[in-house]
Amino acid sequence: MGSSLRRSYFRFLTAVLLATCGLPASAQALLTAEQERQALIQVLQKRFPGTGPADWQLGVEGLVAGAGTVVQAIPFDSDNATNSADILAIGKKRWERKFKDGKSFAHCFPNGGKRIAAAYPQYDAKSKLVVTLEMALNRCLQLHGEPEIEIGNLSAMGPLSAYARNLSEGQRIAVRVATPAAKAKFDAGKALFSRRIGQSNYACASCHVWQAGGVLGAPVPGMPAELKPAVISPVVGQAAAWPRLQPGGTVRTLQMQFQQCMQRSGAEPFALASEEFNNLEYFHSYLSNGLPIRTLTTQR
Amino acid sequence: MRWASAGAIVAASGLAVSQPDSTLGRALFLDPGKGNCAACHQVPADPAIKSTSRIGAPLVGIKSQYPDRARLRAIIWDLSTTIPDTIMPPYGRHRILTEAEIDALLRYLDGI
Repeated sequence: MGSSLRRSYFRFLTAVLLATCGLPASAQALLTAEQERQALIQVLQKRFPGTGPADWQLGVEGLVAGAGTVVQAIPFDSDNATNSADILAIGKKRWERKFKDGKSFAHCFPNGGKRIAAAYPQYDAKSKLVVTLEMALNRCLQLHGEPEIEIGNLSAMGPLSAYARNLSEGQRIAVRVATPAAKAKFDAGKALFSRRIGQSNYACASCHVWQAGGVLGAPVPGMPAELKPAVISPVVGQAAAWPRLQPGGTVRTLQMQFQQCMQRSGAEPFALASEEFNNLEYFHSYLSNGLPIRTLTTQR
Repeated sequence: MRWASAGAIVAASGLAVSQPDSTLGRALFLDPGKGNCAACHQVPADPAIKSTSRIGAPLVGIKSQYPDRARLRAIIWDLSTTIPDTIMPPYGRHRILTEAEIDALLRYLDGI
């Protein structure tokens, strides 16, 4: 799809999304990120009357009667505490490792890295790019002459990222979109969220806005059979609980989930830490502003 | 791989691939790599379809609802031409199903 047609398509989707909230098309161009977030919350509240973001942070377990029992049936509980503790112990060791120059990750972040994760992803005006927490960890390594960690390396980046985020456990997400340049990245992420892609022609919004709460009646390709029936979670609240603990005790980051969703749609996924995914994570995380960070959960 | 997958589903159900097309159509209906229709549609008349989804309309009496077979075929081919915001994949336009597979699926839908 050409760029001008894509912009038209995105404006159309935004108009459809916001028209349900009674906002005229002429006002949409002036909307701030927060206004757009509130408009989306209104759309989802019409689908889930009497609930709000605080309920949605639990994913579908906070919304759909019976979904919780499906999760409880998964035999993670007895291992979850052990796996989480193991992963955090590995992450803590990596976090506290001294670099060659005697510094450590704690020197790269305010407050020694405690209670900083809520501000990520963030727009970096110098590089004009969105920076995720994982990228910030790698920037720290680079700054101190250490080799960077491949972001997709589950055994290396996974525990480190989990520990770094766990230092902010319970802190309310506070992603900022404060400048026009930042808003442009937010909008780019929203465009990807709204764009139909892949052989199945799904947009993220197709499921996580317009079909949120819907019950999938058959296994989703790639999902373990014991997770059926899968219930579609609303997008607001999704970003609060990452990274997640997977069967076998490995870590799944939010961008890894993006990749899996794209693959399910029959699309070639963007690379982890690509500009496309960073912008999407920026938009997606902003939508969960105000919700507490929770790491290494096993919810779907 | 997709034909093998559909065949595996049919074989797992105790029926051979050489059975009537309605069986192949059901296999395509269930195959996550093909129609995966059960992800969104219930089929109350077919006990082999255990979907509980309400995302799409339950499929009941399709033959009488759609006496114009070409119209039903067009829906499977690309529903977005009539319902632009549908999330039903365009099975024909995006080559998820071949023409022969759509025919087999239609024969299955005739019987539910």
